[in-house]
Amino acid sequence: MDAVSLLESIAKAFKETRLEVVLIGNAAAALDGAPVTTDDFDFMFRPTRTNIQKMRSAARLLGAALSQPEYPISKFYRMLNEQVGLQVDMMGVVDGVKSFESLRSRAGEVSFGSASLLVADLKDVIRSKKIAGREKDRAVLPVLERTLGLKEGRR
Amino acid sequence: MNQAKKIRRAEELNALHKESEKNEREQILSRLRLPPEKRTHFLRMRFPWGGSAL
Repeated sequence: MDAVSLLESIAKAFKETRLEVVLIGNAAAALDGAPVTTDDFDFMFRPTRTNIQKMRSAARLLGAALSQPEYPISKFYRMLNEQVGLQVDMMGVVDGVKSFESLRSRAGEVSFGSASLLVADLKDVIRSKKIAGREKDRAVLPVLERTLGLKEGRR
Repeated sequence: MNQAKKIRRAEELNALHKESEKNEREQILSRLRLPPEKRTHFLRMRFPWGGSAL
């Protein structure tokens, strides 16, 4: 399925609420050129009190229910709108990422409609998956590394 | 499986592996030729009964 309309809605919601986020995970890898799929959108953000309020507003704009599935042990929030197939996972901490600022400094901006999203660099996505080490992360690493190699002209 | 069959099987598997790698490479290159905002056919939809599909 084409994610473009959901990405436009998500980008617009974050723009209107002025919430700074960086797209990570397989969605970021796909936008970076990797032939991978996903059923959700993972973002990193700074979980300050203000940003959490902004996130609540963004969830309302997206018609999504907001939950904290692993409360109180992690800074992980989920926005879910099953009617349109939207799942946005918001993370304050990401494996292999030193800080939000470091991730953002290497992210690229991609336009969707009237808004844009910062998309993590493929190297950061690869590092994060290596550190996370889950079976599904390890399974996708070869194709991500191949994509990075071809992007960098290493044929 | 006799030796000749084993060798043939290994050759077939090697050829399949190379073909698969070639296809993956072409998939990646075709995506890289697109601008990032066009690389958006990656979303799987979940089914109510479980599982998902592109």
